[in-house]
Amino acid sequence: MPRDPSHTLERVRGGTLRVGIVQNDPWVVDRGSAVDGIEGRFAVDVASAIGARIEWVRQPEFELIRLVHDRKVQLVIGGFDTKVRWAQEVALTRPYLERDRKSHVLAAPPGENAWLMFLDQRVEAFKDAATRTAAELSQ
Amino acid sequence: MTRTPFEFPPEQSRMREQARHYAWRSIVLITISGVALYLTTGRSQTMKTAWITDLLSIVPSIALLFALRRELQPATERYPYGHFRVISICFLLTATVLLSMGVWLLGESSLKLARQERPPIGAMMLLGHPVWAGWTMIVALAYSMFTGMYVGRIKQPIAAKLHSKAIEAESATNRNEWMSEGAAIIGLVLVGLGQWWADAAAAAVISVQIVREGWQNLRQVVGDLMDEAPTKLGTHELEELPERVRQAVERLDWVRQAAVRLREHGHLVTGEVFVVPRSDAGLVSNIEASVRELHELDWRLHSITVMPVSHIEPLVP
Repeated sequence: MPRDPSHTLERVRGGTLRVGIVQNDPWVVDRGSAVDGIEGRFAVDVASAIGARIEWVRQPEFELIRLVHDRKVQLVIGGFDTKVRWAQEVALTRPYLERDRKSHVLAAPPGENAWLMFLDQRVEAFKDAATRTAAELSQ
Repeated sequence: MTRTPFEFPPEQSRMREQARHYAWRSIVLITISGVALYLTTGRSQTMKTAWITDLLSIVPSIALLFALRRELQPATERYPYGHFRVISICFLLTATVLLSMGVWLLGESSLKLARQERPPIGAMMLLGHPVWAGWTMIVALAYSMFTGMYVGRIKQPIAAKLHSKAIEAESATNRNEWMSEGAAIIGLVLVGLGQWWADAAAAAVISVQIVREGWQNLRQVVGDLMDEAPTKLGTHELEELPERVRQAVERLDWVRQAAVRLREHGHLVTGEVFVVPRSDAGLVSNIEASVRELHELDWRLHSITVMPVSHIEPLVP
């Protein structure tokens, strides 16, 4: 418990993890072949934890939100915070960083609760690294 | 004669105090469980419905406290029949709140089902460890379930002794909470097992329960305001009280025949007794004595009018 209604976690494990990206320095830095930035690194870390190959999906934000809502991508990153307008359309993870009175989160497909739970656990483990990186960047 | 202020008999007076005490206890305990539910709600429709239902279940207690305070205020020029019916007004309000909230929540959960909105329930941190938030929701629901059953149970005997439909309804609202919380727990367990629809479905089941409760209360209060004859507590069956009154009056040696018409007036019973006297001698003092006797017959009888008539037409054709 919990399980995914559409088996997202089972499918991405050892398979392909489709991650939607919105270029947003320093959170997501698109370098073409690779994606860097605080959240870019998080996505890479998640993929390696489940032995998945990442497929980066580059689309306008509204398209990415539609895709994640329909479970066509499993994660969308772009430096989002909890106040995004489309919060109800997706599942937001727990915040991994509080900065400038914004809680930074990632977007996952709604209802895929095993996957969300897994992401939340990774987010908790990622918190310290994210805080350090953010502090270095702001200096 | 009709202006005499009403006083509850000692036992009933004590029960009223107890009822007031329990109403406060309910409000405090249910508010605590409501806050617990609210804090764990997240995006679950079931949880949202559960905490709203929980908080709604204190409305009857608040209404009762208000009514207990107002109903004994003496009759005034503007309200010559006293304020006993304030309890019916509170009831009407409660029923309307329950009905409208129930319908709204039912609409919302049906919409979520129709649009296939899936509830995201992720982790929450408990003592530094990520725990599935569904578990904390279930714990909060179980706590709320026991609270409801406890405050519902303690009020039941009081409702019976005071013959109070208001307290009975208040107690029933609390006792019925277990169904809502039970449905919510089942819904969340199913969501945990990957059945996303169970969240909105459980919320719909709970909403139907609220609507049903509101409807029952409304029916009862409409009966009261329509001057329905006294009914037995918790049922639609008529009481034997009018017949008992009629027999008591007909046993008086100056009475040839009697007819009785009673209605519930808040916690009390008021109405008229029509009598055909055997003679006009001493009629006034006979009538006054009979009124006193009737008030002895049952503590709920109040402001009974005894009206001498030459013959009795059946009240109900």
